[in-house]
Amino acid sequence: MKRGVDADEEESSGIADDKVLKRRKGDADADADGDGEEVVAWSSLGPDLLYEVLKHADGRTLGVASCVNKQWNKTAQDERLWETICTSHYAKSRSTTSGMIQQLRSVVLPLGGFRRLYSLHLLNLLKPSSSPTPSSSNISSSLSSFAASSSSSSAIPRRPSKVPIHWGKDELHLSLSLLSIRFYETMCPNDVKKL
Amino acid sequence: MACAEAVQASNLRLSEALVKQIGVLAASQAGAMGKVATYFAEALARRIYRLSPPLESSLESSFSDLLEMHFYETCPYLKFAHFTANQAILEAFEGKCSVHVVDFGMKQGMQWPALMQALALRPGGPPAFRLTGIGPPQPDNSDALQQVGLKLAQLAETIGVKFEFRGFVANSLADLEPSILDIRPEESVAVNSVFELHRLLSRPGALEKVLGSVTAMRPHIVTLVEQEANHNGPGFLDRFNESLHYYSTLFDSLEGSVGMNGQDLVMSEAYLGRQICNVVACEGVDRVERHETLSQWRVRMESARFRPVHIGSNAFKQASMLLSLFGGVDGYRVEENEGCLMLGWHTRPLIATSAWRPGSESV
Repeated sequence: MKRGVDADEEESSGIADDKVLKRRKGDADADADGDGEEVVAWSSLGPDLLYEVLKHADGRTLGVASCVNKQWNKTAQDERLWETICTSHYAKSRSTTSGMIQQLRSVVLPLGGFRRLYSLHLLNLLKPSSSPTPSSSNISSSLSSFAASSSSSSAIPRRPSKVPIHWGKDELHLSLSLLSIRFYETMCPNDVKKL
Repeated sequence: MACAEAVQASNLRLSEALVKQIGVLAASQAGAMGKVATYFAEALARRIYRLSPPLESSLESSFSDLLEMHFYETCPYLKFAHFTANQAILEAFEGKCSVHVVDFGMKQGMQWPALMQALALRPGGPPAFRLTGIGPPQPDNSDALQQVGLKLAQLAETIGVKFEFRGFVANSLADLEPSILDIRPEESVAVNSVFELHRLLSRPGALEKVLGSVTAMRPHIVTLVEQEANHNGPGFLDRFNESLHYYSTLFDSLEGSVGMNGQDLVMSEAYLGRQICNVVACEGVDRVERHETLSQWRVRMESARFRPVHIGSNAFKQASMLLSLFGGVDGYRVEENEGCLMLGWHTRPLIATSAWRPGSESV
């Protein structure tokens, strides 16, 4: 199937093709005739196929993707996608078992999920120390608003993507600690009030 | 400082005159220095006029907790303390299936969610986790400890950790007998003390009694976090000067924290201000903020027959990463000191985490 073949070709090149993707969406308004067929193909990409494509996107791209439209937003918020992103280093390690991933899932999901883990905590650990805090926090808060709300049409802060996108278990562990603290802080104390 | 000298020399009239001047000078000074001066001036005034400061009475404990929560959120000191202590506890609990933590200063229980989460993710699954929390009596007889325990129990259930909690109310740690803690033979015990032990120094013999109780609990690890300063010298003037330098550095670091809003800053400063007031204005059993340096604590622990346990590099890594979240990346420093970790601002260490084990315990 032609559409499927196109999608596979896009998958194999990761981020670069996501940029192409965005450019095409931009072109769609400007040039309805020129890229006619491809624009139609992308915007009518079914959620399953979209999911398959997004499986290969990195965190930042996923955040951006969730701003495209309501359907993309819904697909991009799928916990499984964010789980893959958070556990990418696990996948590379030979000693990781599916049991360990399941154990991780059983802790992270009740505490708020992988999307929150990434956008609220992991992302803050990835910014280079030289970048000024305000702009970084804008980016992390923009991404977290992407993650938290539907179809935000706020401007995506463009910055040179020199942020390291790889992290190890130390960053993950620290993020998990922060996630659990945040969960605890926002737990409703009313359930436990006596009398 | 001239005022402090006058106070030391019991020259009341001079100190009174000077303290009024400080008030005016401090108000005109901008930034951290001005604020520190104001707090110290107030403390001096209390000392001079022998006003009993509104501190450490149980009426104030919920307000204290509130101030501490702001301090917790806005600067890394408490988080550093918790994270490094937790890492030491986690490593000591490796391979144990039934663990028991005794927390000498339960407060809101903020240290424990992260430990429970780490235990839940242990390869092979979490151990059974028991927590005993000790806290001061509440004025309205509400069971604050129990509420914290319930909250932690809810978290534990959420992440699948078998959890038990007991709270003990005590005016002083020295009032506790180890037998009432119900240490079970099969469990591995950790004792955790974050900014609590120094209070015992206000009563002679209290620390020795508590350290004896700790030994009797046969813990696998004792985690100790204390301020890195000597605010317990015999002379008032020395204490005054030491604490002036210490809290000035602390206030500087607060100013340097990016992204702190006005209210958080004021609350954090008020939290520290209460300590300042106690160090400067109180004496005898009321003066509980008797901070001592790591070297001094080492001597005390070793004479109570504890052996040091080296805090590993994982804790160092976590701590460094944690600091990167707090803006002032150029200011905060983690240092390793013979197996202990210290957090400081620029060149001045401010708090120190150390880990210990009773000497007679077989490895």
